[in-house]
Amino acid sequence: MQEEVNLNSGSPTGQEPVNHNIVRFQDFWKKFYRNKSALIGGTLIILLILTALIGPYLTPYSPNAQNYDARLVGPSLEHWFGTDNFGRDIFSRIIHGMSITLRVGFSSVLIGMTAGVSLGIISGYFGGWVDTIIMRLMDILLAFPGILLALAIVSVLGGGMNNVIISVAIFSVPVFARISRGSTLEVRQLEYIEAVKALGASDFRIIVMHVLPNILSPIIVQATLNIATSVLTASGLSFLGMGAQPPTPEWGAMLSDGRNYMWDAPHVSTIPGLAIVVVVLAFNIFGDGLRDALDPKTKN
Amino acid sequence: MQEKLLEVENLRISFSTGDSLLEVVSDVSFDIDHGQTIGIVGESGSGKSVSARAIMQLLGNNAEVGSESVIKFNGEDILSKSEKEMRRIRGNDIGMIFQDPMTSLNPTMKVGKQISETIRIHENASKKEAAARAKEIMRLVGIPNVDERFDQYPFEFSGGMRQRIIIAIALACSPKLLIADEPTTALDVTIQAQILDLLKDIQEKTGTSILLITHDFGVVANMCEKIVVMNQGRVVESGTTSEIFTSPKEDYTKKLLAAIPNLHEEKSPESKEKLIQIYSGTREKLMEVNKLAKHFPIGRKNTLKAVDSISFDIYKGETLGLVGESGSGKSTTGRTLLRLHEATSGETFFEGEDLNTYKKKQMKEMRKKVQFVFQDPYSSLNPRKKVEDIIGEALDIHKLAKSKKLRRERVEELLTLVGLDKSFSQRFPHEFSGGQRQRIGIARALAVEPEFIVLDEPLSALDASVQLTIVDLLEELQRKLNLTYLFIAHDLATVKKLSDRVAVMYKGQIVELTDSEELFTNPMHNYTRKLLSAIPVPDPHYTATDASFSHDDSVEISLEGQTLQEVKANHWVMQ
Repeated sequence: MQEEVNLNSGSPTGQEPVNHNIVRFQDFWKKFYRNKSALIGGTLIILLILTALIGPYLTPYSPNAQNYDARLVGPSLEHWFGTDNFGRDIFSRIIHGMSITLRVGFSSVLIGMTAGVSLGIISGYFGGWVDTIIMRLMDILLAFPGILLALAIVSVLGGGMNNVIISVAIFSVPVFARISRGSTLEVRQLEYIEAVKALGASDFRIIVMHVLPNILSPIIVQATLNIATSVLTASGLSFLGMGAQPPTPEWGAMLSDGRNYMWDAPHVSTIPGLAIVVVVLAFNIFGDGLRDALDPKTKN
Repeated sequence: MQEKLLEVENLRISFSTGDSLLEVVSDVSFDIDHGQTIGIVGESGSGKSVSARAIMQLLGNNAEVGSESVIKFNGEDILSKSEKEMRRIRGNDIGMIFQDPMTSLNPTMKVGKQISETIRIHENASKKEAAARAKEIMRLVGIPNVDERFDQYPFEFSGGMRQRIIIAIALACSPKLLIADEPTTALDVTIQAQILDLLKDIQEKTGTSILLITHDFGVVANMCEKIVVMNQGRVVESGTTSEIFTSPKEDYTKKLLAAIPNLHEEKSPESKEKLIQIYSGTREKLMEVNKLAKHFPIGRKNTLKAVDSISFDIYKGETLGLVGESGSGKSTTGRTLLRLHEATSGETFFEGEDLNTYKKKQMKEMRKKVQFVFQDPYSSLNPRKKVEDIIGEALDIHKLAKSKKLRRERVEELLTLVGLDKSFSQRFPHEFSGGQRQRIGIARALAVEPEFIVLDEPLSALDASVQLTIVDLLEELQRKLNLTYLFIAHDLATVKKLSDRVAVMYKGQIVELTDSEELFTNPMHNYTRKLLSAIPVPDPHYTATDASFSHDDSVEISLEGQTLQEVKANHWVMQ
């Protein structure tokens, strides 16, 4: 019989219900700032982006410069992360690879999100057979394990980074479609949607101006978390030889190259592996922090 | 002198909200004798529910009770009790009834078990004994076919029946005090009457004391011996019920009493004039509804006939009231008229043209003439938009404002029209109270300069004193702008005040239609009479004259094979 005591500050009548859709910016920032892991994740992401932008101009070596006198050298002052089997400086390659990784992560999520959210909103807003067709398609996509689906798409489209981006984007479409459909269903039945309908607003106007802004929070959270997954999937594809082609300093490909020297020079594969871990971790903890701050369901 | 059952002294409660402390209850004192019923009356935010929760120690972690506060139950200090000791008192010595019967029961547990569980927690009863006791209590709260109902789940019960179950749970261990926190607010008026009858009956039979918390003076008038009036966390006035009603001392109490709509008030001459014109055929028809129906599919086979072939006319400048209980189809009617729902069949003529045949584009044009005001002032305004954009949106859609400056001017003009300050245009909905929000909703509807407005329960979410101001506003706007209203409501008293004619809906049909004076003095349909007799009368000395009318909802009123017929001049009744 325990019932929550609902108390809202500041409201003159005290009867103001908790609004589950709106998170004021100050509240968001306060919560976000308090959340240490989110702050660390966010800082890390900013550092990673800066590295990707500026790093390539500062690296000591060219990422593809080969030096056969210094092959498979372990980490040293000269080569911070050591060199690979062609004597290329791994540190420089990691720095150059950063922009590739982030580009894949961001652009695939952006494409996947745009497509997924559009489909999801259309599905949730119009319902009926439109909904059925779209969501069954999404179910089919979701039925495949992610990497397998991406692999299948890349093998149809052919290798190369752009195709990796497209395939990873396609594989993230259903996730966004589901989330935005669910949120749309929730928002659609609110009275203010009906109110603008009564004013004579078109469906397009209602979707863009009233539905979309109100379902953004969960989508943003999902997008952040999805970047991590996309980075991992893209590296996986490159690892399997379906993505970046040599000599591109892509981390997954580098990891794959290093496999043959696991015993003699473990750093060749572990360092790209660690780089992937850092990026994935950064986006994951940032995403979790965002969720705490934005997603009302965990709001206290 | 016998000791008081409950004594509350200098109760002070604060809530911590982030960094600051907010005091919501200050210096509240009252007491309850054995077998007494007292009412705490106040508007939302007055601290009445919080005070009740303090008695149960159900305040939650962010609440703080002042050190000078004393709550004594049966002579024992409740505030010093540990959580474990409190658990024994809760349910056992003090039972509590919550407002919403739909959410206070566990939907996955049979109702009989929910009652017997409470008995078993507190008393060392065997399963069998507890079940037998539970059935006995179910009979006490007036549930028919107890043996069968015992093993049913909450969803198989109607709202009123669920509230009875909740009362049964609260009564399970024969508590000495029953706290009822707005026990009838979520219920229809006829069911409210039943539940109040039940509470009275229980008090007579068991001798338990009742603390009744409500915002409705009508409810306390016939229930309570003493009344405590609260406002903004303080006790404004307390005294015996007849003292409060006949000679209130404080202005606030007077204001609340004045806000009670009076059923016996005469209609204005203006309204009478309108009726004469309508009945003599000299007033123009604005809308002609012909056999309108709206059915919703339920699953694959069944349909719900929410609106089942209704016909009526609306005349220019009048207010037609549409009354009925929840589920009677009144809101659906309003929405179908404006094609927020598509009609299943029937015609809706507006100025001679059938709206239901209109294409999208024509309908958009039409929306300039017909508008809608929504029930919930909270969910009907987009929380992310400024007031200027909420009201201005109508102007954008129909391209009614030529420039940004003109748009703002028009919005400010509309705000002034509904009695709000111009500067409000730059604020967000959450900064306003319910009444102010409803004014914003009205301003939005007025933006396109409509001729006809459907008001869908625009008052039901508001406090009584606020309701009154909105009613005044609506009347004033009608006069100024020559508006026509369809006023949908379940509260008969406000309907009487605002409407020229009233249609009563029941099970998707109009069962009675006449002018409001006639309807209230000479109700003819059984259902209308039932509705009228269920209105709680805010007069402590009132005794029901129509005692023949039981509030029993097991009596279904059949409409089988009946049609709406003009029984008397301008008085239509279904028979």
